[in-house]
Amino acid sequence: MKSQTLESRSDPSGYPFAVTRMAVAQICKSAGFKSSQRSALETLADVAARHLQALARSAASSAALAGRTDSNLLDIILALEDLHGLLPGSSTSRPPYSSPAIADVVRFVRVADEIPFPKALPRRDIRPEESIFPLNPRSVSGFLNHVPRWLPEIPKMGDGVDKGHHREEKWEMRSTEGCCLVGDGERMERGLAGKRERVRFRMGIVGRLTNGVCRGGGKRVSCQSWTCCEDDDEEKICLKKRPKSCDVLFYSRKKRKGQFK
Amino acid sequence: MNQGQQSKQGNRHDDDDDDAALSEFLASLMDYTPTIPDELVEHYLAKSGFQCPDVRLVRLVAVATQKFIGEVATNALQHCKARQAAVVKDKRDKQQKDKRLILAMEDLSKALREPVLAARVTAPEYYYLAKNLTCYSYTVE
Repeated sequence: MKSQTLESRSDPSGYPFAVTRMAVAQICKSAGFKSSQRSALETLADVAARHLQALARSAASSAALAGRTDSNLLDIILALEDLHGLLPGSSTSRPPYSSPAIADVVRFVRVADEIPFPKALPRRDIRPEESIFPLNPRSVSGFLNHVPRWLPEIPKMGDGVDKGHHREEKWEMRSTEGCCLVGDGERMERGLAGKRERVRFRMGIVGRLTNGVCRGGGKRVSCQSWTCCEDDDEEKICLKKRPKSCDVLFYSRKKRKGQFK
Repeated sequence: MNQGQQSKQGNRHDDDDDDAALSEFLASLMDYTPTIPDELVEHYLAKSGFQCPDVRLVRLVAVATQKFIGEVATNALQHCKARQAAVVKDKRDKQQKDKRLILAMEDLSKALREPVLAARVTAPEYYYLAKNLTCYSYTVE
């Protein structure tokens, strides 16, 4: 499988590709470029992705050839040599730990400045003990160590007792967030989870009223929000006071000529 | 026979030195944060079947890729500058074009076509030095 297929492995609209593009743009900027053509940047990001995948694939295959599932440093060195070409002093004649491929990387780390990635990526914390398979006792007890880690657990068989009926609970009886049951299970009122601001809408023609004729535009919807007051009396007082945050939204229709002056 | 034994011992010494140097390097790798974030590298490694619980090896792959892309970018930069130097008309034009170092497809394709080998002059120390030198050369006019 020497020749790589030309099919595009990285989807240009995908999230990992966008992150790769960002990282490659950082590297180009540190190399000296001020800006870049979009197609060139995407090509270079694609090259970076392919490089990563090619290294990974050849390291994984060399580990598999040796009968291991986890790759180690040796596999990576061999993969680097495989990808970048053999130089005098490579693994064929000398032990691989002193190969120039790894020596170059060592020199690079020593010489080059760190180029930080601009944004922090959200990390999904997947710990190695938690696998995608359900909790298996193998991780706890030691006597099942001969079973490979990646095999799923044997599914639990039922006892034979019919427990199906307890699933048929009425959906009204089920408690959901933000929903409170009032009265019997048949009637249900929904209440709000927390106190929210009261919002009022006033629809109609809001504008300057001059001699009963509205000037200054068409229909408007104004919305004002103020804090919720429990009592009616208090509400009236609230109205009189100027609301703290007065967000006025305007929706204006195009003025129809001939109707307003 | 004696010579063979001596050379074997010599090799073992070298191996120990290399091992020590490499383990030191791997420890230093945890201080150096590669530009390509670890999560992204892990995504591509997992996609290709690479499995390794060691974070340092993930960083090693990231650093190797960063080095490679950096070398390609530097080669493309050299091509770009060579192209600009060939199109110099008068002083004003050159100064304007200095600020417009744009990564273009033609420079990138030329850079990718050349094999990026470590034995060539694109060794890390050289191109960092060269970058500083070329900066100076443009100010002396």
